[in-house]
Amino acid sequence: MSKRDEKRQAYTSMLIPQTQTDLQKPGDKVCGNCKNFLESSWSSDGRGACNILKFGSNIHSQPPVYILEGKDGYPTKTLHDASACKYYEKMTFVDKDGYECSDPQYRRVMRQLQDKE
Amino acid sequence: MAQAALKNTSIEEFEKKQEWWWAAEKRRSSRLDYLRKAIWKKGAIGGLYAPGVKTDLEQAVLTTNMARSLENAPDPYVVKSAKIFAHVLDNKTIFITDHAQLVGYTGSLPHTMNWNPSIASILNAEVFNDPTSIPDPVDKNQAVIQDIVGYWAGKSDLDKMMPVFDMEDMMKMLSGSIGWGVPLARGGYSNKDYEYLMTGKRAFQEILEEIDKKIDEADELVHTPVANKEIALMYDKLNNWEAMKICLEAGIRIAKRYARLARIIAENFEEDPKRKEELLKIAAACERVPAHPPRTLQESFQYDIFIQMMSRTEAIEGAWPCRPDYYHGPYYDKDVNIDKTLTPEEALDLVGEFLIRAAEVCQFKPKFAREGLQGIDGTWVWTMGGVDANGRDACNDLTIAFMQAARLVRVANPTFAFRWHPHVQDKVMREVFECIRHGLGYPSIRHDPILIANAMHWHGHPIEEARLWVHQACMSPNPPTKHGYQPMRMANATANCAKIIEYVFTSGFDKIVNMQVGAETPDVTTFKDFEEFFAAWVTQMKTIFSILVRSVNRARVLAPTLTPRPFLSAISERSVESGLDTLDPSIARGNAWITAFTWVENADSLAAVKKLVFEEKKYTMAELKEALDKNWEGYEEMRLDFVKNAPKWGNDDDYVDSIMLRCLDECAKFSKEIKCPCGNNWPILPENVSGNIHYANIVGALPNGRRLGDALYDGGISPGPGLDKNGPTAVLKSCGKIDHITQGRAFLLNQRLSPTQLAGEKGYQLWRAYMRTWADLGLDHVQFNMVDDSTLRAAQKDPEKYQEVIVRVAGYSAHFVDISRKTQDNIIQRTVQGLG
Repeated sequence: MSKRDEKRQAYTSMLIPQTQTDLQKPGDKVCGNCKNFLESSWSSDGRGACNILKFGSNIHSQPPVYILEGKDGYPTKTLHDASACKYYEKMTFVDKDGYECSDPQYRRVMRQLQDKE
Repeated sequence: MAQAALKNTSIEEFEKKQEWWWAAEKRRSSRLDYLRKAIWKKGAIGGLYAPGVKTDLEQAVLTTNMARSLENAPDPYVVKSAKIFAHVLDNKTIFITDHAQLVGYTGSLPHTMNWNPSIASILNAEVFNDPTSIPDPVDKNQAVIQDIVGYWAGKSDLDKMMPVFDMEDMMKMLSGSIGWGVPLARGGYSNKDYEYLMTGKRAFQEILEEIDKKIDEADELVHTPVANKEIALMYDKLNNWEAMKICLEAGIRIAKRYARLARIIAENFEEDPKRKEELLKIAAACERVPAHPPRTLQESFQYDIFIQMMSRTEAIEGAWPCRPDYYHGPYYDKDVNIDKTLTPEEALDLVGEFLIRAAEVCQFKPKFAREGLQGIDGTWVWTMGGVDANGRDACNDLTIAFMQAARLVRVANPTFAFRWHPHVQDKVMREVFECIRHGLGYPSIRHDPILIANAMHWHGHPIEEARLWVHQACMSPNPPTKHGYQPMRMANATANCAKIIEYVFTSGFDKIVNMQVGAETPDVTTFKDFEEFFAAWVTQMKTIFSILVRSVNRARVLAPTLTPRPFLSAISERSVESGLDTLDPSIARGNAWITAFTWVENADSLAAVKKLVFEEKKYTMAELKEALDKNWEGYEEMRLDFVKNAPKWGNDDDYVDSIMLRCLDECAKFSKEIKCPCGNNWPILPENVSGNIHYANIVGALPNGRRLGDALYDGGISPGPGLDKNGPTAVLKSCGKIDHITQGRAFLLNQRLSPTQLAGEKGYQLWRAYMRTWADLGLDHVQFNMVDDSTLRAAQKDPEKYQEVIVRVAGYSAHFVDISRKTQDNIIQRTVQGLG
């Protein structure tokens, strides 16, 4: 497999837009309410990356694969199921009204996450 | 303010207290007062929309329904796009505001924000996720939105583009660390071919006739007994022309719907004879435009509003490039000075209403735009003044009327940018200054001779076209001419430049987003001298710029087939003539630029490293790297040394200024190596909007002493807040060392002046003297905040009382209470310059 193929495989999930089914209410433990999730500052449609895991990780496989070294991050989304991830840490939302800006790590206005609060 | 207090205080008393907003309220006509108060505040407050402002589902539903019904239709894509556009215009709800003389709005009701779901599925998801703007009943509408989101997933323009971009570049962009914006033909800043459209020679009906002629000629050609490539491609042109016609015809129809509505109200419901007459005038205007060229000032404004409304039906527009005094000026002159069908006061009402109609325009915007443009919907920077194609002064009575109307209606958007040149009359400059003195933060002042030369230098625009330039967004000039006008500035080529210096220390690894984004330059501790360090800086600069530019270039090449713009093409001479989509690079000269956010940190950081590490050897590079890695925690004394004892830009200090010039030289050189699909250059344009706040938590610690989370510098070449210690002339002298023609496309300079010092005639003369120095030094831009600290602090404490205070944020103005606390603080921290 070429490097280009590897990257395409890993990143494809990030390029798939949200569908109707994706917008259902999520489980209790999702990447979006984990302290280690970094929401992309580019959009608030749920894209982001993990602050701990690196490229090649897979928290959905059995058993999960955790890669902690590397130069490329592990892309994930707000609503990705993180119930099997050992690095999951539930975060407390400190800015719930969202009128203040420029604090993407602590301002997640995702409707689905708010519904869980 | 209580009505009694407002009534009992005179205009002069309010002006003495510099409470210009109350004075304006008392000065303006009752019509303007009503219209100004009747509009909804649409700009996002911090990151979210104001209570009561709702996403408009009407266009989204109409678009989706029509797209579904056309799925199996035997139409080419561009024709389907045109039919969807026409379906929206034919079926959208229209309304006429009481007392209004101008009509047309992007949404279906005054409190709504237009949403076109066919452009970007990420935006659709944001509509769904926004907790505040879904209209009532929320549950029902949430289901509607879910259906729309589901339909467009995989079908929107962005979904069509993403798979054909480079995956690695796309991931770096999606990280949000090095840039913002999307590379899309229907999302950004569209200039228009005003020389084709607004000079009174033609309007939609006349264009339709031109297109019919082209179709007949093409039809004859494709049926001659010959076959070749030209004929093979001619069918695409025929499709494009057909799509253009569909759009223009729909444009005429919706205007006639407004005319009918106005007549129905006038003839059946209105009892006031004066208002009845006004409604019939609206009807007459909408029957005339956009079908045919306007005859009066009212028709000219109405024509303009229709064009903008239609353009915003087709695309998400982040800007409003135009030159209203130039193109509407002849109608003002005819109505007020020659025919005397309008009194100056009546004309002023129309001008004020034109500003108000623009101020209410809103489309739902993605998060980066809401945060980056806090308080406004987009950068409606309207170009005023300047010269005509022959180089003569183009200021006219309407230029003055716009300045006066702005002070009466006090909207934060649109704002003006005034093209100064040596022949501007004093009476015009006084009007410009009054707007600044009244705390509007606009007009910004642009140096016309410099920018005309700049447009010729960077993009090869002929002088007659360069002289017609308008602002395509906040800052960048672009001629509204056949081959010169740029149909879409894709905002994706906006670089978060502080990352350049940050990545030198991390070898391109971004610790904030946890991935390799920049170039893998050698470990910074191995650099033996400043030259090696600077070479790494150049490599990082080239890497970041290239990633962003590549995606815009790719989108521009693909746009004519994947994401065509039939309406914009229909009002572009080059498309009507050629049958090609207006995005087609083969028929455009090119006017690309890289917006350079967070730029000045580079010069200050490089100077600090050069002085304290390489020359004085006070610290080792390893120590500095470690301190930055720790976000200066545990290194406060060292951090203060980097803040206080390293030279800072804006103090007329050659040590750091020469570094700034060197950086710009490297960028200018590279700008000519990277090319747009039109074959033209990519100069940089340092400015910030609110990017300095948006990026505060994304840019790590820097050698200028900045910590992660601290606001970045506010301007394109403005010194860091409080770091310009040597007064306003030193700032101008530093900025004047830059060659504003050859070293970049434009350079934004924010300055704060004291309203007390600039009161009265003496204040005007002080400002004129300052402006003479500015002009002599050849700066291309300057803009002013003239609201004192005490007012701003009072507004922070008691926002309800100071709803109307306006400030200049960066390339735009906003109501102070609508921007985030961090941005407010950043504005207060800016140095107040004493003149004289």
